[in-house]
Amino acid sequence: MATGSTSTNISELKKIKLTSSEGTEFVVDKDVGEKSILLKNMLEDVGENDMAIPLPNVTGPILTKVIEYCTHHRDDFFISQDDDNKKTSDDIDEWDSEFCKVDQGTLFELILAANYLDIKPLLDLTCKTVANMIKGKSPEEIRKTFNIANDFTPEEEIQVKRENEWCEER
Amino acid sequence: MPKTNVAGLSVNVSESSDIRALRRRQQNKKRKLNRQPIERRVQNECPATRIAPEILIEICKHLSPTDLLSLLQTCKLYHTWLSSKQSVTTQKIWYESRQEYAPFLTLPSPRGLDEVAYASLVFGSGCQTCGEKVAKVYWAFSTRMCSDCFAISTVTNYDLNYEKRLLKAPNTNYVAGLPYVEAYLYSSPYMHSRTREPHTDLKFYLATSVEKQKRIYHTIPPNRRHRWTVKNMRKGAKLMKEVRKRERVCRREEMKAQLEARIVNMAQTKDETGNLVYDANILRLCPAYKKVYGTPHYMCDQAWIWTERKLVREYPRIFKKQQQLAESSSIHLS
Repeated sequence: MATGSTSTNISELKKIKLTSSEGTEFVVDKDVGEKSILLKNMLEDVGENDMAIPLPNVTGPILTKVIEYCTHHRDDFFISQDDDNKKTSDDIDEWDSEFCKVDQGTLFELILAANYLDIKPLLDLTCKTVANMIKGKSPEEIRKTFNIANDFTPEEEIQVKRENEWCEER
Repeated sequence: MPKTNVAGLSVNVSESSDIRALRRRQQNKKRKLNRQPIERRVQNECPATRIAPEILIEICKHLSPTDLLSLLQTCKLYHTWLSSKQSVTTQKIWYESRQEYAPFLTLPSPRGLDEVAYASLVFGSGCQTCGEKVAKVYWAFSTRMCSDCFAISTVTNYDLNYEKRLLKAPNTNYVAGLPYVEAYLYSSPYMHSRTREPHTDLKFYLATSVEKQKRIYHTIPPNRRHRWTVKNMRKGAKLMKEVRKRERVCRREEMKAQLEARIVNMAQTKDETGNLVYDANILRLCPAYKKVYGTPHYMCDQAWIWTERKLVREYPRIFKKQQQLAESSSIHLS
C-alpha cells in the first residue's frame, strides 16, 4: 500500500498543506502525510492540488504530535494486518514509548486523531499505551489512574462485584 | 468512519476557501455553545469516559479477560458497554480476549451463558453467591461457589432416596437428566460431613432445579412419565459429557500451574555452598516432568515426592545431554 513512502527521492518530495481545527496551516512532505490512509485516499481522489486540506477534528498541538510520529516512521513499512499476530503490548520500542509520555487528555486526543486520520500503527501504539495503564489493576486503581468517578450506588457496586468477582490477590 | 468523511471533505475542498472559513467559524461557535452546560464540564475532567465506543474496542483488543472484568467494574458507562448481552461487538471483544489469553478454553460458552458470564466464571474468583474468597467452578451448575454455599444449595441422590423411602413415594425419576456434581469434585479443606463417607456414586443436584423438575414431573400424566424420563436421561447424558470435558480442560490447566509452581520452587534449592542446583528449563526437559505435564490428575504432596525423586535421578543425564547439544551447535556455528 505505501509504495511511494519508501522512496525518498528528492524529485518526489512533494508538499501538502493541512489545516488544523483552529485554522493553523501545516506543511508536510507528501510521503509523511500519506501515512494517514484518510489523507492518502483524499489525495488520490482530488489529485494534484495546492489547496490546504482542512482537518476540523484535529487541533494544532495534536496535529503537531501526529506529524512528529509520521515523520519518525516515514521509512517504515506500515503493513496492514487485520489479524495482527503481535498483539502483545510489551513490544513498544523506545522512541514510541517516549512519544507516548504525554498527559491523558493528549493521549486520548491522539487516539481520536489516529482513528480519524486512519493511521493504524499510531492507533495501535496509543491504544496499547492505554491498555498498559489498565493492566493488572483493580477497579479502584483504574478509577484513580483515569480519574473516573464511581457512579455506582453502593448496592449496585456490590451486585456488579459479585457478578464479576475480581481476585485481589492476583 | 474515514470513507464517508472522504466524500464529505472532497466536496469541501472544491468549495472556495471563504465559505470554508465561515463554516468552520460556525462550527467552532456551535462547539463552544455545546460545551457550556455544567454536567458536560464535569465529564470533561475525565478524558477516559468521553471516548467513543470504537476507541474502547481498540483499547480492549489489548486486554486480558481479567483486566476487562476489572474495567467493567469502574463505572456505569463501561459496565453498560462491556456487559451487554445483545451487542455483537461486546461479545466479540470478550471472545477475542478469551482466544488470546486463554487458548485452552476452546469449548464455546456453556448453554445459557454469554461471553461475559463465561469470562467472569473462568477468570473471576470468589463465590458468586455469597462473595466468599475461596470458591470453585462447578461446570455442572455453571457457577462458582464456596463450599458452604454448595452444601446449602444442593441435594444428593442419597437425600432423595431417603425422602423417597420416608414418604413411600413410588419413584424419584424426576431428577433424571439433571446435571450433577460427582462426589470427588466436591472436596475442600472444609469438607462437609456428607462427603466423609466414601460414596462413589454420590451425586449432588442443584436443589432449585430439582424442585423445578419435580413440579414439571407431576404435571405430566402418569402414562407418559416413562417416556419423558427416558428423553431427559438422554439429554442429560449428553450434557454431562460436555460438563466432564470442561472440567477436564480446566483441571488440566490448574494442574499445569501447580506443577509450574513446584518446578520453580525446586529450581530455587541451593547446595551447601549456596549455588543453585537445578535449572528450571532443564527440569522441564526431563521425562518425569513430561509424563505428569498436562495430565488432569491432582498433584498431591505424595505424587510430587515421587516425581521429584525421578527428576533428581534424571537431571544429571539431561543436563549432560543439553551441554553436549550446546557445544555441538556452537562448533557448528563457528
